[in-house]
This record gives sequence, structure tokens and C-alpha cells, in this order.
Amino acid sequence: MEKILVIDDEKPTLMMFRLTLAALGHEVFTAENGQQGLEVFNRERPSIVLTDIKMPGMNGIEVLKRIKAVDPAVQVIVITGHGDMDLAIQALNLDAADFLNKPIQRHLLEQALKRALERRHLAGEQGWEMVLEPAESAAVIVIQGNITAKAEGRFQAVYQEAVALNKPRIVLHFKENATINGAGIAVLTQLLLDSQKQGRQLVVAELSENLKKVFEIVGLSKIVPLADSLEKAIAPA
Amino acid sequence: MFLYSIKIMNPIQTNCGLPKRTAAKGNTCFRDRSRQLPLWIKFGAYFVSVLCFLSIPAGCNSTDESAAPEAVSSGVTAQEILLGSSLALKGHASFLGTQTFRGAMSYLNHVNEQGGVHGRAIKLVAYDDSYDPPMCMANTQKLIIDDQVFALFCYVGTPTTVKVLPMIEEARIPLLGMFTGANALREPFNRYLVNVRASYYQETGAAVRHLVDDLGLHKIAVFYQYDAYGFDGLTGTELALRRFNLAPVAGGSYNRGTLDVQEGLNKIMASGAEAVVMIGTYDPCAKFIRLAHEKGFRPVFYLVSFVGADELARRLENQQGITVIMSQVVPPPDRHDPSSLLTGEVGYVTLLQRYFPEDQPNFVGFEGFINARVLVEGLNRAGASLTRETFINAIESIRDLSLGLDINIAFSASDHQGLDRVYFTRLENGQFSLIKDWADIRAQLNAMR
Amino acid sequence: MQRDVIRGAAKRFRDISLKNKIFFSIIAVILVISAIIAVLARWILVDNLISELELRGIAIARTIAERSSGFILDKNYPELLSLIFDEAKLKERQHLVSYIFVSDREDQVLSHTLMRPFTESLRLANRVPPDEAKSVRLFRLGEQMAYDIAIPVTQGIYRIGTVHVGLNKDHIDQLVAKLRTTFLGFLSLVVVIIFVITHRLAKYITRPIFKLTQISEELSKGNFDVKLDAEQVSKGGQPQECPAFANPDATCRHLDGNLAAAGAGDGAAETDPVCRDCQFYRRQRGDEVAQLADAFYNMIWGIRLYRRRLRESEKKYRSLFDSGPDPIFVINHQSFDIIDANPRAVEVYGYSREELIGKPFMELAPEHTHEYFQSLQGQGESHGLVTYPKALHYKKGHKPFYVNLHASNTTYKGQPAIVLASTDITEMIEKDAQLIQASKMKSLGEMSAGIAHELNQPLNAIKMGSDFLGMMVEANRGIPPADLQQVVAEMSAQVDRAAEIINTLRSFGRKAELVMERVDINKPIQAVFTLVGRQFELDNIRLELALTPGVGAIMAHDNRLQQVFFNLVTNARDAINEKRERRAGSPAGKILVRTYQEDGQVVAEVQDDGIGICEAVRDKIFEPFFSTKESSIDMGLGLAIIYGIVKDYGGAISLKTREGEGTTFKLSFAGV
Repeated sequence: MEKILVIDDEKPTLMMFRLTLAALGHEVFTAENGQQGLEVFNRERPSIVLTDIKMPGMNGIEVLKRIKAVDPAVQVIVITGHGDMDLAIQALNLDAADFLNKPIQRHLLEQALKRALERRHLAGEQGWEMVLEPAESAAVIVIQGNITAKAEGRFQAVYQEAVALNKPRIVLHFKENATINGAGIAVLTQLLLDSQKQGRQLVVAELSENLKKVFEIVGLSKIVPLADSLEKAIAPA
Repeated sequence: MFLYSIKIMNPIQTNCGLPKRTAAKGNTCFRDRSRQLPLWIKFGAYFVSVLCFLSIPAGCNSTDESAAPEAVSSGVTAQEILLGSSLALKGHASFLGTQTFRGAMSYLNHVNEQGGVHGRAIKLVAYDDSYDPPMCMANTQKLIIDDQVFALFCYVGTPTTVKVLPMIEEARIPLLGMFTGANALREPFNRYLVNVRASYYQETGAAVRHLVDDLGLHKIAVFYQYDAYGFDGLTGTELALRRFNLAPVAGGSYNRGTLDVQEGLNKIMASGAEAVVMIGTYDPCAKFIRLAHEKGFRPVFYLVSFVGADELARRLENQQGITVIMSQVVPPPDRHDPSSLLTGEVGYVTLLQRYFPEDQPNFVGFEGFINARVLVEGLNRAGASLTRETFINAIESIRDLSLGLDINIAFSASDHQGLDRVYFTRLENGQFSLIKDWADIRAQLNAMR
Repeated sequence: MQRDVIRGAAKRFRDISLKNKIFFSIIAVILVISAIIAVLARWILVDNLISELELRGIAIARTIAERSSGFILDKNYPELLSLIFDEAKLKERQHLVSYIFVSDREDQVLSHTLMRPFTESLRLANRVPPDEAKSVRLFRLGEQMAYDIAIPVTQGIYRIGTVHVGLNKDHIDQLVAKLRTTFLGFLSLVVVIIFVITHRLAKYITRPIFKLTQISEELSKGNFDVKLDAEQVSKGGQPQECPAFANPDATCRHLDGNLAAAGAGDGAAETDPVCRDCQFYRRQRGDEVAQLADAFYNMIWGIRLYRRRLRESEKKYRSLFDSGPDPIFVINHQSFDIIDANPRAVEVYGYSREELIGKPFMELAPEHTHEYFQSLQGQGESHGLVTYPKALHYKKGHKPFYVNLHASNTTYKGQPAIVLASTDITEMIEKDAQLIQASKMKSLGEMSAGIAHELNQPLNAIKMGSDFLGMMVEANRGIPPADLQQVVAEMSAQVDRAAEIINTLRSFGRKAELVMERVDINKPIQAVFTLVGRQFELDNIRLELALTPGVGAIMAHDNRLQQVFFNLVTNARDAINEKRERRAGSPAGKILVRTYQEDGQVVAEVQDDGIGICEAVRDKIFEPFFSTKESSIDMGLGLAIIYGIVKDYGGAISLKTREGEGTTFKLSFAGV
């Protein structure tokens, strides 16, 4: 039971959100435009904000910035249309928690909400985590939370640990709640390129759909093979 | 009309006649001049037509009055031929006229006695004109119009005969036998005038020749009667002298019918003439010679025949020391010179004796006689159909009639002068006798100088 | 009858040759003059001669009278005879004087010069009346006529006789005849001379004329190679030597001088060259006949030059006509029937040449041709060119195609006509259409993001609604009826919304029909609004419509008009965006689209408050491929296409702009 704010200029959409979120047991506040959304946010201080990006007047990015300025810990999920991945990445860079594509799938909505809540808990800490879990034939790095530039150091360290294990393969296991922003992607990319130079095999496993999309957009999916499950990633090819 | 007809003869083609399509290139359908008559033909035709046009009226003018020849002339009848004469039967030249007449009549009478000519008797009507031209004219007119003579015969004298020439020409009447050598009767040629005697020109010409060549005389003067006769002689003399590049040194004259010779004589004497050609009548000439002799002027005197030899001789009977030469156109009728012409049966002397016994034969009468002889010859030859024209033609047919004494009568269509000879006589012993030798005279003259 | 004869004669006179005319005329004149002179001369002469004669006769008679008085008194008739004979026969007088006779008081003849018996009638024929001094009478003497002039012989006051002098009139007659002969002879001579002269003269005149006539005949047959005379052959050269002849475009001052003076007057005539020693044009020299020959020759040369030019020009134009790449027709000036067509026309229109000739041109081009040609007729002789673009023509088999038609007045075979050239522009039009289509596609491309977005909204609403319903059913929870109602209604409405967008899109994307239709101008504007309205909102641009209902319809294509307004509002949005970029913090932009009627026209306006158009580019904006934006974004065809489409519908487009403040595009069309 959380306070959720939904900002969208489409009235029918707002109505659907309201009904659905209410049916999920949350307290729903709606706003028809950015300005109004900020007002409601300041007033109600919801823990999760869903905002449409493309809106007349103040758009979703602007709303995200303002909200994050007020409360960086708020989980803002941006809602995009098809083909607005640029905007999604932009939002992620601005520390948006997640993004959803219209038309919204219910299970995706629920997942996003769940991950948002999980992250809220992690938000008190650094907000992310990387752990090395060696397996039989691969070194598995488990990644959770919001991977940002701050994670760079840890990433390198864990990576070196994985290399030291000398397993035939290194698997990067992204947990459900893992998100990555631009900086994080840059680090990752660098890492992947280094490992390719060194001739190490790297596999990324269990990327969430969204992240998969992100990877595809940034071109990472060309550099590193993606595996749907951990087992497949570990299993020798 | 003529001209127009000419134009019609040359039709001018306005259409070349070729159909337009077949006309060859360059041969267009307008006047083709080669088709027309050549220029000169057209031109000539025109000219000729014009000339004809002109000559038609011109020809009409000359109407001949007496174009039609007469069948029978006036003066001729079946029995008789009537002749007419006007001559000096009276007056100062009466000798010439009378003797001419009687000489002719002698023969004519004889002929008539013999039956005439072709059965026609010849009758001669003579009027006296006293050597006066007007009278001669009146006589001649009378003879022609009133008497209607067939021909005129035996005229005497230059002024008289010359005066009636117009009449003769208008009447177209023959005149035969003129006792004058006038040039006017010979030139211009007149068909109706039949001269028998030689001309004065011939006389003076021969005389001058003798004077200059035979006698060696160059200073020759001329004494002449102041009338046509005298001038004629003068002209003849001048012409003759010119042939010798000479001219008369002097000229003296006297008026016809007068004896005023003094002035002329003075002139001639003053010129110092060696010879004097004298053309006049016997009286004045005789006086001239006598006076000259008296004055001691002793030229050679030459006289033309007309002067009258016998009468002159008579008047100079007693003159001595004069050289008088006279030219004659007939030889001297010397009875002693045997010739039938003179002494024959039909001789002059014989017949004169018969019909005019009181007359002596003389040059003048002899000449008349010869005239008659010629006349009868002509009448004979003319035949029975006697017209003036046939008579003239008959005369012209006499080519060589010898009468005797070297007298040859010759005529032709262009020669109406019967005799051409000139005889020279000299006064000796009161008689004129033929000069046989001029050298003698010359010698005598030289002796006299 | 007489008049006919006269007329016939006059006609014949006219027909005879010049030479004969001259000749006859002159002859006639001479004859008339001569006749007059002759008559005058004769009259004067004869009268005077007669009086002269009289006087002479009188003189002779008087002389005789004086000299004879003595003889008469003395009755010296021989002397009298001699006297009168002398007088009568004195040399030349003998021809003049016929006779003279003198009579006495009782008129008895004293003396006479006749050589025949005196005629009695003569004696009394002319008696002098007692008081008269003379008496003159003309009478017949035998076969002659003679004047008898009688003068009395007086002694003191007494008359003692009369002298009659008969003068031969024949003398006068002969004189007159001689005169006449001389005169006529002279006349003949004159006639001959005149004949020769006129012959020569006429020949001189007629020979060249004859020659010129011959040459004219040759010319009329088209043969221009005539030689006038030997002189020309030696002087003139081969035609090719003349520069104007060899090159038909070169001008010859001699030939073109007049033309320039008459018409062109462009100063070219002054500078046209004249050969220093023109071999072909001759100066006029000599008398009239020679001048005529020269002028004639010049004319011939001019004609040759001209013909050559004409032939060359004809060749040139004939080849243009035959080989023209476009169909060319020559049509009758009044009936618009086809007189001639070039091979390309046969090719393009599919008819054979025989079929084309005589066909009315309207059959090939039924629409609009009538007014078009009338406008051409109004131009008269001018060589104005009239162009009719995008005319619809039909090939054989009633196959339509588009042409640009050009026409101008001309003369064809001496008659006024119109020459037309039709250029097939079907391909061009298709390309145009393709271009529009491409632009449309680009627009669509541009719109696609927005469209996707637009479609996404209803889809999202439907998805979420159906998911909600599914969720509630799965959880077996009851749905409050009000919510259920709301959800269901909304879902249905959103489906409709999506369908509308899709339809609009489809119609936008459609290729235009060939034939125009009546279009309510508000419709395409609304469609555009449907497509892009919301997008503009997202851009914070307000798209406002102020459409007058029933403002009017125009003959156009609906989706093309959509294209037009789409391009206009897109440009307006771009202008507003640019203004925002340049000046940060600008207020939300506004695009206002209005429709209204004005002076019977249907007008649509698109107004924005964007950056405006600067003066420099104002004239260029309608140019194709010109754009104020970066080239990769915009091809620069938008306004050009709009311009083209507006013009196609016979409308006008204008703009008002203020730099930095905004632009208004105004389109006006004729209403139907």
C-alpha cells in the first residue's frame, strides 16, 4: 500500500491507471499535467510516481528532474510510447527508476512496481550491489539495484576477482531489480571490451525485458551474448 | 487610196498565230517581225505610190496645143504649093532682096514649067520689108495667118529674119534659104530653119585665118553695122581672133540705113589696123573704103558676103591701090566657068537670062538660085503627102546633093546648114575673083609697105 | 454601228506595234501639218501669183500701151506688131504671155501676136469700160485658160485703142503644180526620213522592251537565269559571289534598306553592309531605256536574292516543322480545322495524317479550347504567343493526356492561320504527382512518430481497461458498476478514436485522382487538425481553427488540400520552434487557421507567431529546393508544392510576414 502519483495528459489513461492501481491496493493520485503533478507531489509525497513523458506544457523529463530535486529517493517510473527509447534512456540517466511502454502490460506494471519498492529499500544504502558467486564453469557476478557511475570501482574489483577465478566464462547476472543508467552502461561497455581483448568469454544473463531493450539500443547486445536464464549462461556452449 | 492599198498589202500581224502552249520557250506571243515584209519593200512601195500620186496632176498640165500632126499642111493644095517671102525689095538693101528673089524665081519658074513638084506648082508670094524688121514681122504674120503659106522662103537680112523667129517657132512653119549667116539662125538648133549658106562665123573665121596666117596681119580692126548683123560678125571675128590669141585692135560702127561711117573710120584709123573686117552693106562699106583711101589708110579690107560683092565692086570701080577681099558662100557665078549649075540647061545663068534677062548673074542671085534648088529637092523628096514635117524630114534626108562646082548640099537631123564652104575673092579689075594664091597678096602687101 | 466601227478601229490601233504607232502618229501629224501648210501656201501663193501675174500683165500692157500710142496714131502697124511681138516673145515672157493684141477705138484688131487667125470671141471678150483703167478677165482660149488684161491706150484723155495682154494661166498652174510637186516630193522625203528615224527610234525603244518582255515571261515561268545583254555577262559575276546570296542570313543594304525603314527600325539597317563595289546592283545611267534596263536588272537580282532567302527560310522552317520534336498543327483561323500536321503530331496523337487534316481541332482538345482560341484571335496580326498550360488532349481511342499548348498567329499559304505546338507533359505531371507523393510520404514519415503516439494513446487506454477488467475477474472481485460502465464506454470511444486517425491517415496517403471534385475547404483543414493537433499540443503549440461553416467549396483534390494545409501548419510549427530556440522563454506558440469568404472567393489563412520570414528570402520561399532549415531535415519542396497545387486549382497564394513576429499565408480560390 503505497502512495502512487500518476501524471498523464490523457484522461482515459489516467482513469485506467487509477482503477488498476486502486485495485492493486494502492492510494492513487492523478494529475493531468506536469505542473499539477508537482503540486500533488509536494502535497502528498508519494513514494512512486508514474509520469508520461510526452505532455504539453512541462514534459515528463522536466517533472522527473523536479521531483528528483525534491526527493532523490522517489521512484519515478516514466511511461513512454513505442520508439521513445531515447527518452527512456534520458530518463534513466536522470535517475528514473524504470520505464514502461504504452500500451502498458499489466504484469509489466506490477513488476515495475515491485522493483520500485525493492529499490526504495535499497535506496537507503548505496542503492546497488554486486556479488561474485562462482559456479562450476563460470564466474557469476550478481548485479542488483541501480548501477551508476558510483558502481564503477566496485565493478572493476569484482571483475578482477572473477578473472582471478580463471573460469572459462564470466556471467553477469542481472537481477530483476537491476537497472543501469548511462554511466553504468559506459562502465559495463568498457569492461566488456577489455574482456574481449583479453579473450575472455562474457555472457549476460537474465536481463529484464527493459534492460534487454536498453542493451539493444546502446549496441551492447552485439558485443556480449545475452542469455535468458542463468543456467543457460553457465552451461558450456 | 494607193497608200491605203499598200498598207493592206502588208497585213500587220497582231497575233503570232501560235497557240500559247506550243510556243517555244522564248518565242512569246507578240509581234514576230520576221513575218512582216522586209522594210525596204514596204518603203519602196510607198515611195512609188507617192510618186505616181504626184505625177498624175503634173502630167495633166502639159497640153499640147498642136499635138496632133496635120494630115495636110496649110498652103498645099492639089495644084499648088504656096510659099511666102519677106525681103528687101526696096530700100538700101533692095539689091540683095531683089536678086535673091529673082535668082530663086528663075529656078522655080523653070520647075513650074516642067509641071511642078508632084503635080503641084510652086507659087512664091513675096512682100517687101525694106530690110526693116517690123515690116518683116508684119509680112510674116500676114503670110502665115492670112496667106497661109506652106513655108517661108528666101528671107534676107539678119535683123529681119531673127525678128520673125518667134513667129516661126509658134507657127511651126519651115523657113528655108536665108540670105544671112547669122548665128542666131543656127544656134540654138531650130528644126524649122533650114540654112543653106555658111555662117558669118565661118566666113569671118576663115577670113581671120587667112589674114593672120596667110597674110601675117595681126592688127585687125572691125567695122560693123550697128545691129544684130553687125554684132554677129563682130562676135565671129572676135571668136576667130581669140583662137590666135588676138583681139580686134579697134571697132567702128555705123547705124543701119545710114552712111555715117566717119566716126568708125577715125577709130579704126587711129588704131593703126593692118586689116579691117567689115560687116555692113555695100553703100556704107564703099564709102568707108573710099574715105580710108583718101586719108591714106591702106589696110586690107575684108568684107563678108552679105555686103554684096557686085554692088560694092560697082561703087569701088575707080579705086586703085586698095586691097579688098570678100568672102563668099557660093562660088562666083562666072559665066565663063563651065558648069551645068551655071550654064547648064537648068543653070543659074541660063535661067536668069530666060526669066530676068536684064539682070546680070551675081553672087546674091546665085545664092537665091541654089536656095530654090534645095527647096525643090526637098519638096520632091517629101512626096505627094506634103506636110511641113515631111518636108523638113525630106530636107534632112539630103545627105550629099551635088549641084556642081564643088557645091555639096548636106543636111541631117542635127545639121540644118547645107553649105559649109567659104570662098575668098579679091576685087580686081572691078570684079571679084577667086583668090588662088594668098602669097601673092602677101607679097603685094609687103611691097606696098 | 458607226461607233462600233470606230471602236473596232481604235482597238486595232491600240494593238499595233509601238514602232508602227509612232510611225503612223508622226506621219499623220506630218500629213495634217503638210496639208494645212499646202492649203495655206497654195492659197497665199496662188492668190499672190495671180495678182503678180496680173500686175506683170498690166505692166506689160501699160508699157505696150505707152509705146504703141505713137504707132497707133501713125497707123504704123509693122512697128506696132514688132513692139507687141517683142514684148510677147521676150525670152521667158513667151511662156507667160499667151498673146498680145492691140485694138483700136472700135475694138478692131490692129495687130496681134497669134500665129493663127484671130478668134473673134477674143476681140470682144474683155472690154475696158470707159472709166476704168484696166480690165482683167479670165477666159478660155482654145484649150487653155488665159487672163486677158486690157489696158486702154490713151493719148491725153482720149482713148485711141486698147492693149490686150493674154497671160497664160497655165503658167501659174504649172508653177502651182511645180510647187505641189516640190512640196509633195519634199513631203515624201520627210516621210522617208521620219520613217527611218522612227524605225530606228522605235527599234531602240522596243528592242529592250521586247527583251525585257521576254525576260519577264521567263521570270513568270520561274526561270531566273536570264542574261540581259553581253555587257551584263561580263560585268556581273556568278551569283555565288554575292555575299548576300551565298549566305541568306546576311543582309544587303540594297535589299533590306527599305524593309528596315518600314518596319523593324531597330537600327540594323544603318549598319548593314554594302559591298564597296556591288557587282550586281547597277547604278542607273544613260537614257530612259538604259535606265529601264538597269532598273529591271536590279529588280531581277533583288528577286533572286529574295527567292533564295525565301527558299532557305522555307527549307529551314519546313525542316523544323517536319522534324520538330513536338507535335505542330496548323489550323484554320476561323473554323479551327486542322490544315496541316507534322510527323510528330501523327506519332503522338495516333491518327494518320489524312485523318488529321480537316478534323476539327476541338476533337483533340474539347475543353477550354474555344475561349483560348478566341483570346488568340483577339491579338490580330501580332506575333504574340499564347500559352495554355496543362491542357487535356485526347489521343486516338479517347486516351487522355496532358499537354502544354503554345499557339500564335501566322499565315499559311497566304491565308491567316494559327500554328500550335503541343508539348506532352504527362510524364512531367506524373513526376509532379510522384513528387507530391514523395513529399507526402515524407510528411507522413514526419507524422509517423506523432501518429504512432496518437494511436498509442487509445490502444493504451483499451489495454489498460481490458487488463483491469481481466484482473478484477481473475481476482473474483466485483466491479462497481459505475466503474465498469466508465471503463467499457471509454474503451469503445478509444477504438473509434483510433479508427478515425487511421482513416485520416489513409486518405492523406492516397494518390490524387486525375479529376478534381468539389471539396469543402474546411474538410481538409479539419483532417490535418486530426492528424497533428495533439502533437502540436505536445510541442506546446496551440493549433486553433476558426472555420466559417459552409464557407464554400472549390474544385480541387481533397487529399492534396490536406497536403497543402499540412505543409503550412508544419512550417508554422517549425517557425515557432525556431523562434523559441532563438529567444528562450517564449510563450507557447499559436497557429490560427481561418476560412472565410472574400469578394466571392473562398479564402483560407494560416497564421503563426513564429520567427517570420526575412526580407531577403521572402521571394525565394516558394522556390523548389529552397529552405530556411538545414538541408537534411527539409528538402525545401513543401512551399513549392503548395504553390504548384494552389496554382493548379486556379487559386492564389500570398503571404504577410513580420520578422520575429509571425507569418500569415493567405490562399484564395474561386468558389464553385
